[in-house]
Amino acid sequence: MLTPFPIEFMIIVTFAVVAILFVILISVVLVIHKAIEAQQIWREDRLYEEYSVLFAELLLQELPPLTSDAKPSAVFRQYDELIAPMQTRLKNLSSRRRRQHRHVLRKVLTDFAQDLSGETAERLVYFFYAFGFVDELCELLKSRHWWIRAQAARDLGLIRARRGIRYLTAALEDVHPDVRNQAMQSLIVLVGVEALRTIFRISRDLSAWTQVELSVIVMGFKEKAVPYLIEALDSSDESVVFFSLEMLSQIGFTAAVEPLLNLLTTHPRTSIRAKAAEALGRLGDGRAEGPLLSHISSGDTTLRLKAIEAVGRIGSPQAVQPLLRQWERGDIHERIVIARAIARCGEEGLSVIRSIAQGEPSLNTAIVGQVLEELGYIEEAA
Amino acid sequence: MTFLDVLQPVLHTYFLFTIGYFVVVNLTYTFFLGLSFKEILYYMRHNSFGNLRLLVQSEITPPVSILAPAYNEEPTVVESVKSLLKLNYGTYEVVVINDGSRDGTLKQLIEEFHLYRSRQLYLPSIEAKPVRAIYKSKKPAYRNLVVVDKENGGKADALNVGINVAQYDFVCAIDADSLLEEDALQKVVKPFLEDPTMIAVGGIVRIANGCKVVNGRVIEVRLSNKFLPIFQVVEYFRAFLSGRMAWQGLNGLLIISGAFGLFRRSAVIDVGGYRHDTVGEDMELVVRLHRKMREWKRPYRIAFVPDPVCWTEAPESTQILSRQRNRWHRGLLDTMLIHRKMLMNPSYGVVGLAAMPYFVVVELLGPVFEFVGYLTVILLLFLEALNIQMTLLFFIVALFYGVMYSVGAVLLEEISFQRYPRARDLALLLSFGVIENFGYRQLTTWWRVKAFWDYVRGRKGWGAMQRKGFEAPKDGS
Amino acid sequence: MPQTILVAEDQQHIRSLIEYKLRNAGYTVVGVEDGVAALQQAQILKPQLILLDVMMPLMTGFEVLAALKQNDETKTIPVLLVTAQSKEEEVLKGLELGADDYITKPFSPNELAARVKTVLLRATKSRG
Repeated sequence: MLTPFPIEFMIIVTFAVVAILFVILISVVLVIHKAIEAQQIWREDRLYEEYSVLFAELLLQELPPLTSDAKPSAVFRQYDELIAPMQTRLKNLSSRRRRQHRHVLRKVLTDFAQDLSGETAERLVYFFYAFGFVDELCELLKSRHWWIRAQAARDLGLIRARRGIRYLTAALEDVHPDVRNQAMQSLIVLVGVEALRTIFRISRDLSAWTQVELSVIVMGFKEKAVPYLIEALDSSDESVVFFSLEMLSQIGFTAAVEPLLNLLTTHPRTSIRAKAAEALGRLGDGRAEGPLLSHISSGDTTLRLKAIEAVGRIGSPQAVQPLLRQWERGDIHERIVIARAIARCGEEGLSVIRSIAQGEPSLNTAIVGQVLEELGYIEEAA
Repeated sequence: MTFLDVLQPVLHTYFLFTIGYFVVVNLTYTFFLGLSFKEILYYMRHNSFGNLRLLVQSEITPPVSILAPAYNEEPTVVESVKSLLKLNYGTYEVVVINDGSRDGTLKQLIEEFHLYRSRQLYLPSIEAKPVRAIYKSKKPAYRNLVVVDKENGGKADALNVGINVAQYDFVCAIDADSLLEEDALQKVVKPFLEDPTMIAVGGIVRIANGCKVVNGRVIEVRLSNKFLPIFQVVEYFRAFLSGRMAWQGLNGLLIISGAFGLFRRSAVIDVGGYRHDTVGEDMELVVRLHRKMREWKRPYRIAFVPDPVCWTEAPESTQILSRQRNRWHRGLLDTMLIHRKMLMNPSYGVVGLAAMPYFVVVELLGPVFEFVGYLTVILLLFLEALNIQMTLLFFIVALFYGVMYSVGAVLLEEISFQRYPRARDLALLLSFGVIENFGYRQLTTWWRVKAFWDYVRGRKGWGAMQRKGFEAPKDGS
Repeated sequence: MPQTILVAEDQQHIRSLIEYKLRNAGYTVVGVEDGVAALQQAQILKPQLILLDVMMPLMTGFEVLAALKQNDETKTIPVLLVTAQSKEEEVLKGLELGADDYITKPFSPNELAARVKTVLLRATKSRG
């Protein structure tokens, strides 16, 4: 039978001891960590409160009016005087406490920047420079940790620090997508719609997520963004061209028709030509009809289907016959697309579709049945 | 020679084996806990920079088809569909698949949503049971609702029909009784947008028992006042927060819960859709996605979002729970057998060399080893040859690791999402992490061991799961 | 007698700023940082004006506003809402609930003071 202290027993004892010590160690570390963190948060909250009150005063204090012959820089000297006592105070702190205070101060000012406008906001921007926060943020853009870089990029936009433009432009090529995205958004805040030019020129491989973020910005600018979008059509990066095409068709600005036609007929990549066809369809401009019709029998499936859809969106009766010729060649999926397009080509197209619907029940009648229902011409099936 | 003399070397070997197994498993667990911590930290930071609301505002948000299979859901179906129609997202459609229900599920839907028989053609990409009719709503408010009536063929078959009918590139498979968070789709779509090779994303499923549910939304998170659901809450924490989060970091995630998962439609069609001859169709699909993508040498990723996206009703009786666990375990066993070729096969990379072996040795066979251990103890006790001292010690150590792992998972929740606001609930969760080792754990072990027997006997069926409608808990409960 | 203004705003920095601005303009200012306290103080103090942030813990500005308008003692007190960004629905919802005016972040402190003044003037005129 097992002896009282075989080797297995010793192994288990060791395990038990290690396990218990480990759990105890983890709990102790956790508790200590939590306590320290809580204290730190409490201290920061106090400081935050103190600085909010102080800076509310500094931001709102009435300044003596300047004489009419005063230099433009005179107002900055007034600002400097305002914060001089604060700067001396910071200077007299130990380096550890100074870091802490500056950290909180930056947070207070950044929060103010989000909520204020007018003269107060200008004063605030000056404070950011005067305390060296702008330089500090530009420096943080070079941090090893991506989340610090992303935060810095975001804050530079929030505090409207134009000195950051150069650094943010560089951050457009950061390795981490979150940094690139924050840099884009901040650049647009700082520079305005012109920032799009730089963004489109520098960016490579925009992820779909980045495109979503950018799309909201671009749709905010609407027509103002069009020249930059058209310019971006020449980009060598497929994602940039795709995005611009998508946006141009969303904004629906007719000046885009010519460059889009150019892409449709000359671009070497069929994926981009297909996207251009789609965009032209959504613009619905008659000029595009001829070139689109010449693609409805293209050998490339995507391009062909997009061209057919686009022709339908333009919806001129002249397209009915060419579409019907293609109908003969297409498979069932393609026929659905073609039927939709034809049904949109005015009275003429609709009557063609209706006449197919009245034929002997077959696959074709089923297809047009679905299409007519989609377009709201019949509601209930028999 | 006595019987004991023969038995002793056998037991001795088993004992050594157990120790080895124990060491390996617990080192893995510890490693997972650390890895999950890292992954969750990254996720939290990453998430603080992307504004998900943009997905609602943007015009180029990719549309999603939600697939909700329904089988005899008459009491709840209308409520579920209504809450699905109210999600916060750009364009999406809800495809309800009536899997040949024998009750009034379809009738309820037709009356409530003013459905009519649509002429939409049914062009299947995946083979499935025949479709009887496709319905759409006459009311513009329900324009994004599609109801498919088909012949009964099980959940997998219903989902395949859903995939066939879905008109968008992303399909979200859910259970009929899943309660989705309002922004669930936003959260799981984002990984697809960030990585074009993403083919599937899962999210955390939480237990809704005890929570306050109004109009199909969880509005207040509370623990149930029954024992069984709380045990399951701790189990889910462990499985989702530390298990799946760690595996997704290695791109070896093998399970996306059937209660909520978003897939790239084309990828699912390419691998042939759900298999309907297995009880673990959700896991089998994910494993098959891994397998085919690796065989076709396509770059791909399957990810997991540690955000709570979906709430589900957990069984409250041991009888139903035992059936559920039995089914899960048979599903796991079936999936591993179907794809046994991948096991330890280096051409399947991390899936073949790490994820599959882990699931076989720890998840699948773990209960067996544990069960044999208990048997041995009983046998020795019977023969009066048990070294009680040692057995106890062993159990204590095992307990410690078990507790550590559960507590670790609860702490992960505390540092990340903090969905249980009441301190009482947190304390309860932590203590249940300890209590579960006395009784509950043995019970689940037994159910899972029994699953092997049932599998051999050829019981592959689902085992009916009763569902009750969600109700708001009475105040003061 | 100086007029009393109740400022309900959970963000410390912006509350300090509003308090300073309004105090300098000659009002008595009382600041609170959540919706429940706002409601309590409104009943105790009966201020001449309430500045209400929409996003607040415990009770949102809308909830406070609705509660104020239900109570006979407080329903006549004019309310100025502070909203984040100009979301049209939010503004409309606030005005529907009976707010007298609103100001959206980011705002200029001078504009805020001017609006406070107008609302107060309007209120005194209508009363007497």
